[in-house]
Amino acid sequence: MKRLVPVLLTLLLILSIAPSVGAHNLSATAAFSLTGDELTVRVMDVYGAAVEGAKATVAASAPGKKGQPAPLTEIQPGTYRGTISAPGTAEYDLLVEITVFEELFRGGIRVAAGESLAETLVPMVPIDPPLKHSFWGPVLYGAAALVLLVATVVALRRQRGAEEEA
Amino acid sequence: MFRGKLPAMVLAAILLLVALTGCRAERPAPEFDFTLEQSGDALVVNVQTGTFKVPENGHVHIRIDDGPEAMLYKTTYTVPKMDPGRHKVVVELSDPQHNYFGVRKEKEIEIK
Repeated sequence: MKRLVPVLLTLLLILSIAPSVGAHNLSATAAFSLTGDELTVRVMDVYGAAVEGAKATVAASAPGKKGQPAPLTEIQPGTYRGTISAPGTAEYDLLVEITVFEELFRGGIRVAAGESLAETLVPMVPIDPPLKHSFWGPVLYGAAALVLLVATVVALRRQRGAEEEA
Repeated sequence: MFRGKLPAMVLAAILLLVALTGCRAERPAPEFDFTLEQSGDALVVNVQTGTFKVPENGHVHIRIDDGPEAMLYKTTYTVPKMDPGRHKVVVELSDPQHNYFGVRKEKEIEIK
């Protein structure tokens, strides 16, 4: 039992990371409308509340290609509008990115060239930023817990070896 | 080599971890309260956060009827269409890294 204590403590440390990793589970939906080259995007959260004060961009590109993002302007709370520059292919993709403080959401739709788009709901997928400052806490904690676990196993093995030699 | 030193090593490692991360330290929970109000079909949640400034110090998380989490960087939240009936609203404050302070408040409202 005494030997299990460090292992249990290590497990406790590892488990303590869980609440801070992936605890955030936000979702949003956007309603895309396209008239001519004018795109309107109405962004709602999970309860249908307007997502206000976001930075929004749209990129129009040929399927499989990457487009140049252009800004959308918030014309009323939660509704963003801007002009797209279609690539000239028969079909093209519209990729909208919404940033609300540190939270980034991305959603896209394929459109036939020259056609308008009635209001169409598009799920906005949350994208984890590559390095948030909260990122290093759990990583450091996890790495330290791993080192502790390995060190405990090594120490126990050496202790057992020393006992056998004695 | 490690005989008899293991418990001290484990304790030292734990203390080192706590010192290095510092992220598990208890923080005082900010005072807050909120009101619920029906406005037409809409539900308006007004959060009073006192000295806890939104968004400078963090933000507000809201759950309705045990549903998913919504996040707001302001203190007024409007759900445009609520079904009639009794609804439960849970509000929590979190820091900018989405760590809760450990205090949540829950209220109910009857939407007519």
